[in-house]
Amino acid sequence: MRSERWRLLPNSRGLLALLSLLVTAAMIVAACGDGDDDGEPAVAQAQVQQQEQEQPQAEAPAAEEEVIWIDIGVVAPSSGSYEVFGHTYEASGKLVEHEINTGAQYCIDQGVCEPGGGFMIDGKLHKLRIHFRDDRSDINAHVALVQELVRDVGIVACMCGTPHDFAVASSKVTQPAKVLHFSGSSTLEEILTAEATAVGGENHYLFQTETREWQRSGSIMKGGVDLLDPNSEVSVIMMLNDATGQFLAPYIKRALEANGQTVPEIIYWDPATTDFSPLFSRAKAHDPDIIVFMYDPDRAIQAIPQALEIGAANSGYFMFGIDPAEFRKRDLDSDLPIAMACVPLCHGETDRAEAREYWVRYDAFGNELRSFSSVSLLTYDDYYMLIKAYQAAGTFEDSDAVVAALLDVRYDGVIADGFFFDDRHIVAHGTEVCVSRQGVFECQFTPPPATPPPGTPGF
Amino acid sequence: MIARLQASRARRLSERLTQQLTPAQTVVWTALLIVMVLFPTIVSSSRFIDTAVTYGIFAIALYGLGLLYGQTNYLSIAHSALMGMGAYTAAILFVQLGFGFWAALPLSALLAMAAAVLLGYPALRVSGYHFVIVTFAACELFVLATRNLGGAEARSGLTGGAQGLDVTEPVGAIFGQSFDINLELEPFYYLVLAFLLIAMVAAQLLIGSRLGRTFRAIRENEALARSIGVRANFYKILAFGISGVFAGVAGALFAYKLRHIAPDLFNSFEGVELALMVLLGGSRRLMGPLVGAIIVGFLPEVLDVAGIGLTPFQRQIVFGLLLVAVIILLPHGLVAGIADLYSYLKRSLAETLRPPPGSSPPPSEPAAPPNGDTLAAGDAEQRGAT
Repeated sequence: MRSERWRLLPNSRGLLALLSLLVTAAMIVAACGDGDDDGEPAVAQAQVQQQEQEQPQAEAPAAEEEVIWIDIGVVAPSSGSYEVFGHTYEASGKLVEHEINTGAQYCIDQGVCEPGGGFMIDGKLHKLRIHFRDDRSDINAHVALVQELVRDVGIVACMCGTPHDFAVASSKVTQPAKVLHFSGSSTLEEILTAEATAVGGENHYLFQTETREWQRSGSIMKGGVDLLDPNSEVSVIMMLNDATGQFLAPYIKRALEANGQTVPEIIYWDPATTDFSPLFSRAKAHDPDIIVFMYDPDRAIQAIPQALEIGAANSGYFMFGIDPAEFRKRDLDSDLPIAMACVPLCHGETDRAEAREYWVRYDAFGNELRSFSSVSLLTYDDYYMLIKAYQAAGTFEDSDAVVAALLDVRYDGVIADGFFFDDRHIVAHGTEVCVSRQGVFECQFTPPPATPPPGTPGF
Repeated sequence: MIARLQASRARRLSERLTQQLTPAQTVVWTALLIVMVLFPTIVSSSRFIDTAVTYGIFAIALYGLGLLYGQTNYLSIAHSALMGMGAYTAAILFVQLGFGFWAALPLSALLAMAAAVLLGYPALRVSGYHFVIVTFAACELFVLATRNLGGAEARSGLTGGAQGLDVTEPVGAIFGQSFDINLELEPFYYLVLAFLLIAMVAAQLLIGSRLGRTFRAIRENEALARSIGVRANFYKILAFGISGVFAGVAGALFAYKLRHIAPDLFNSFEGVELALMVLLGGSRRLMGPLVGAIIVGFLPEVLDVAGIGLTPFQRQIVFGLLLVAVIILLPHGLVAGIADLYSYLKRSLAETLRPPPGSSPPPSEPAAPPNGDTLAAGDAEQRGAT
């Protein structure tokens, strides 16, 4: 019997040891934080987030019992491998929620807010309650969270989705539920056909918050070539090999060709690549004037020093999605000029006064400046356009009326004057490109080209 | 006569499924089945129901993986690719030929099985870590192939390249009941549950069959099995092929759940996660894969709702530590560990209550095999198929 006990006891000891390990792991995790630079523990962050989510209700005084709350969802990756694309949604959403619910001066100046906060629809005071959800860069979590917001919370609009797969998968949830869905993924234009966006179409409530890819590529490549070397002739594209990268590559190639470049090769790099030297050596074999490195700025910052070491390009390098203010922090030394495209307007360098003021408000609110932060300009304007549409439609619940009104909105926002969604539910905007010449910046805003280059699908 | 034969066969099958359950196991299984059936009513959160659907689909694939690993001791990372094979088959048949879910389902299962057999033929020549690495590589190869078959222009080609494929129609209705998860979660949940129960029953029947015994004979001593005339290579490939069927069915369901598939959904990381679920829950107990899927699927969601959401980075640390702990301390998974603990407590209680020496001894239950390896030594072990 004793020997039997000895056989079994280690298992129960094992369970105790397992529990101890789990507790230790939880303590390590709590101590580690979420890996962010600020080192704020995850638990504390979650508590802050929860408090912020509860804030609108807590702030509402008794006199405001008649306020009607409009629930809007934001489902984006605030952690995980796509975090770089997700933080912008949270930054703009929190700023807008604060401005609208407290009646910030900018909101009043835009003719949206009441002085005491909130906005009127059909003579009744409304406020925004934005539900932020971190999908952890997991498509299954993303869809589950969108299901929760659509079915349980009852959101009427969702800033849901980037990258491409996430946006497409969650649109299958939002569209049958008639929830307005905004996504920055420029790949959506392929499914935003005239038939799909028409009344009764399968994507009637889906909106692309960034310009058409041929417009964006045309705009950033013109700016890049003009600033780096107007006399350049040969460019090589190095593109991340994923859904977005495969979509972007032919557009970038056509845009470069439209700006007088020959593109001998598109070199795709795998998401797991860390040593880019062999790829830059391959690019160097074409004797390129410009190397266009797309589309992840954090990877570009890692990769370009390797290119500089082997002298891969003759005139300069082009990277995407980073602002000069962020670039300065990265302290990248280069004898050759490095161009960077902000989408749409750059932090710290833009000529547009409304955008400069936005960045002041953005910083004052405590939002962090990171790669792709400039994308927050787009969703920021989207919220205001949406509220204008609610006001014009006299309702936020009738999605069909709201979509019809939204298509009529012409909004003077932070990005441009007369900003609007066209009949394919896509906006049009120019982009700003800046070039750093040994730390000195020069910027150029380029409106989107009037016509697509030859070979563009659908034209 | 035929009817009597059929009735007799059905009775034997039913007995094989139920006769070996102890009262405690019957209680646990009944409770679990009730919870699974009532889950959408008990848990009103759409987030959790959606998560249950997703991980229910994964659990179907896990029963295939559990069969392979538990019965032959080969741990495959390629099961996410086999799921991908099923998903891509369903999506391509829909996009190219307009096949609906029910028409595509058998083809998804068959092609996944064929892929498993093709992969198994060279891969099963090695074992242990080498087999894991080969299947890991196969998984990456699948992702590379599906990502790049689209060519330079997105959405061209058979697989749609990195942008993947859209399945615009839902699962076809049965008896007027539609299964559009984006309109109603519950019908799709019950559809997945039905497939999951079929997978569990199929796995249990296979394990208890002559084929299952052959697999275990190879697992326990391949040389000995060969010496008595068992064609070990054939049976190992067969086991891999059968496990591919489970993955193929799961893949087809997954394609119709998300209604959009892309290569990265089936990468080696997902394969490792499937293996993690099987290792955590345990592969030799019927409940093991299901418990593994529940832990991996629901733990992050529950923690998130509780306000201590784990980032993917933290999740990897926690699951990594959990996996190390389980492998070292509970090599047959949590379910086997809990069953061991239960046996130990029961035995201790029996000893405490045993009458003093001299009185007549009560009839004692046969001792459980060590570490809950209830399927280790033949049919008698089936008793503990928790």
